[in-house]
Amino acid sequence: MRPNSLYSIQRIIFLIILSAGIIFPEIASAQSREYLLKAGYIEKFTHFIEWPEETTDKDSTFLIKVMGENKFGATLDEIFSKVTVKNKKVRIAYISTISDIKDCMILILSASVKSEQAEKILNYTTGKPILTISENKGYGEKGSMINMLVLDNYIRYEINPNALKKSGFVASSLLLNSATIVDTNE
Amino acid sequence: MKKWMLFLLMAIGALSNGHAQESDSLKAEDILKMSFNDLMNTQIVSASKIRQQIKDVAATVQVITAEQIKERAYFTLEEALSDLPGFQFRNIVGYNSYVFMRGAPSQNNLILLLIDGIQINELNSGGFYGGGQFNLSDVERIEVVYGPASALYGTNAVSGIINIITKDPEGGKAGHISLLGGDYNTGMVDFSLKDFNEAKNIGFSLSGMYKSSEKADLGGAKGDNNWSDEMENYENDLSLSAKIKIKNLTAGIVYQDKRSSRSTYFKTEGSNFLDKNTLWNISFLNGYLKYAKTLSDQISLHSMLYYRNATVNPNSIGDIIKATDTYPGSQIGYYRPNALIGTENQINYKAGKRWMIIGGVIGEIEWLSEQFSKTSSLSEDKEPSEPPKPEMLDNHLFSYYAQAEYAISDYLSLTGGIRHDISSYYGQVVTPRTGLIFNKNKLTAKILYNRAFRAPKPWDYKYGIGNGGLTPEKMNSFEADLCYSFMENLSIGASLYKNWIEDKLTLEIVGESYRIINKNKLSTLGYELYANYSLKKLLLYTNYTYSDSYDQEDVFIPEISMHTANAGFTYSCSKHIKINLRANYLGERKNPLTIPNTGNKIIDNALILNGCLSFLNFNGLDFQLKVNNILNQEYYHPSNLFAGRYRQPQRTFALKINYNF
Repeated sequence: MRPNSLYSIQRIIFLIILSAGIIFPEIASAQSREYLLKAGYIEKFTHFIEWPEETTDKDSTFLIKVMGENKFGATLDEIFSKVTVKNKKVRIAYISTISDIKDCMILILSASVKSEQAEKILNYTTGKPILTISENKGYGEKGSMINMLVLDNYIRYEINPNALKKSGFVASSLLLNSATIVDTNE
Repeated sequence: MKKWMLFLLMAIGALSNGHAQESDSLKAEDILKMSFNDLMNTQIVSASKIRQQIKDVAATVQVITAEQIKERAYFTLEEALSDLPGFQFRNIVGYNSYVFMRGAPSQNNLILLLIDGIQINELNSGGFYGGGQFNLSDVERIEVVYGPASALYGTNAVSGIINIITKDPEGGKAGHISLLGGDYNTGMVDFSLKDFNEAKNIGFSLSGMYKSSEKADLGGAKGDNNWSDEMENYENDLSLSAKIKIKNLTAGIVYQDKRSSRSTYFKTEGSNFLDKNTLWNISFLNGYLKYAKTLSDQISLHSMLYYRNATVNPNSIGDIIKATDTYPGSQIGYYRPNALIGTENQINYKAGKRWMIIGGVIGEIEWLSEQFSKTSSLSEDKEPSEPPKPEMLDNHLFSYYAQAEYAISDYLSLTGGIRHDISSYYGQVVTPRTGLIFNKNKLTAKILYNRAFRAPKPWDYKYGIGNGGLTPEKMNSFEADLCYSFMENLSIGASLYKNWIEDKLTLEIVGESYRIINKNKLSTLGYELYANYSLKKLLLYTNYTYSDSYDQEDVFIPEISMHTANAGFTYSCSKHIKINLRANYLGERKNPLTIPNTGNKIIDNALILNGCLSFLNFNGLDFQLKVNNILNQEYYHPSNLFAGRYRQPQRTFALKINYNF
């Protein structure tokens, strides 16, 4: 029944001390991983969204703009420097005012963009061929076409099909199948 | 031994004083190689033992997602597993239900069941309890790892691992409450509530469930004449869990209380046993404190302290012996407390571009009942007195493991690992593993060798007349896997394996009694084929499993079917309406003993259809109509308890209303 007595209580105590030694020090965040994954999602979205034909034809570069505090660090530049979108090289620009939005294909509303400012921005982009991507709860209902959220340790996203439709975008069913569908609050 | 442990302690202490950095081994190149589904399945911080993508894990892995659990309205863990390849069941429609993985029948002690990485297998027997006590609405995903994993997890990880990962507090304030009602006095209420402050990185989640069901009509001829027309068969389950996250520190608790009748444990027609007034009350409590820390691009640490309790409570009345003219009858009370406290510390070290090394140490102390404490009332009608606390065994376990992954090229990697368990109870066991993994574009191929063991537990040593000379049963396994994604919406895969179990812990009938002995071998040659396809609003899956399991005399193993298959689809009629239909085919299999009603040992094959119609997101409300066994097939599972077979539930309807807030 007890073929071996190699193990002793002292060793268990050692392990508990060892565990306690590392369990309370300072805490790291996983923010860089979150934004790397979010940048990955944005790249994947470009495969599953069709822009209105005339908009993708007129420019030689595919312009993505980030409004608000840049939490992506260099990850957006890093990812989009390795790929083309709709056969065009991608350029990333970081902006802070509504007047800077023009000419972009994708507008990313950073988490720092407040609710009131987001409403103004989304009013401005409504009907324009600019894919709006946000990352704050409730922004999908405000009219953001894609709203990325952290849910149970995974990145999940909402899609507002009416907002997409108003701007002439067509989203693949694959993208819609994995999304939470929301509508604009009227 | 002490010297190197001191060194490790000092090393970890030194590392703990380093500065935390926001970094991770995931790179932009890795992200670009991922498919959309890979991204959907990648955690921000992994809850698994090793942070890896499925395609990089040295094992076959299937995942049941929260979406699938919801749209298929799974009610029990076995229901969720039944649509995956590789699973067969012995559902005794009673106080337990048994899950067989990859052609090996057992008392659920060849599979390791984890909730958030902490084992919930019953401590005294090593087998988990099947049934309704799992709160599936609180589950984010169920990861099923096929094949032996003792090189990381130790005893009982023989046929595979089922890791239930519950929902985390992240994502802001949210909650739900749902009600379910159905046939056979089935009812359920469950709720969840969570909140998370992203600025402070602090949050909590709470969830609870109460479930009650009589499951099926098994009285008289409907139950194959195993029980009387007045038989009682109920199960009441309570589940509560709470989780608090403060930055990278997580504290959690999971509590399950399962109360059920024991009527189906015996054939009561023609026997001395009564099939009503019994109560089997087992409760499980898991508590844990986890901490993860990334020290640099190369090193991360994971620490865990945990407490587990699995107790057959002293109010249990396991069996009631009928009164006769000469005997007053008797109610038998049972009590079996068990507890464990443990700690695990793991270091992940990335050395250069090619090496990833994982090392861990585990220490556990467990206090197990030597055997059931029992009392007898000496009356059919009178409840027994509460059994006293039984003799307790004080066991210690120390384990350490290491695993190294070497990237031979951009596409090819080699994994090797070993674990050494030193137990005061069952001695020392060494379990190695190795694997060669090829990943290029849409193709993943794996060749794996694994070894695993199941240590005898007090339940084995003392079962029936008992046997003190038991040793661990061991398994060797070779496996080859292939998975190919043709497009984003079509993937197919195949796993081929050969398993050998030696020194099996086997039930031996000794005259009127029984005991567990180390005897027999079990070999399985099997393969699993699976495919998933999505087309616009339609999601399809299908899988087929071949299991050729035989003993040392080339006799096919009872309770295992050579052929099983599953297929199903979910169709989104609109953004609010989904239809789900699933089919399970169970091939013919043999019962261990001759079935009195048929005069042979054959359990016939069966095709079972289950479905669910969902109306989702109407102002936060979901309505679901669920039908199991739509064709009302009469079908059976085998019995290893008595000469007979288990009639499975007839067609059942259930209606569920859910409100999300």
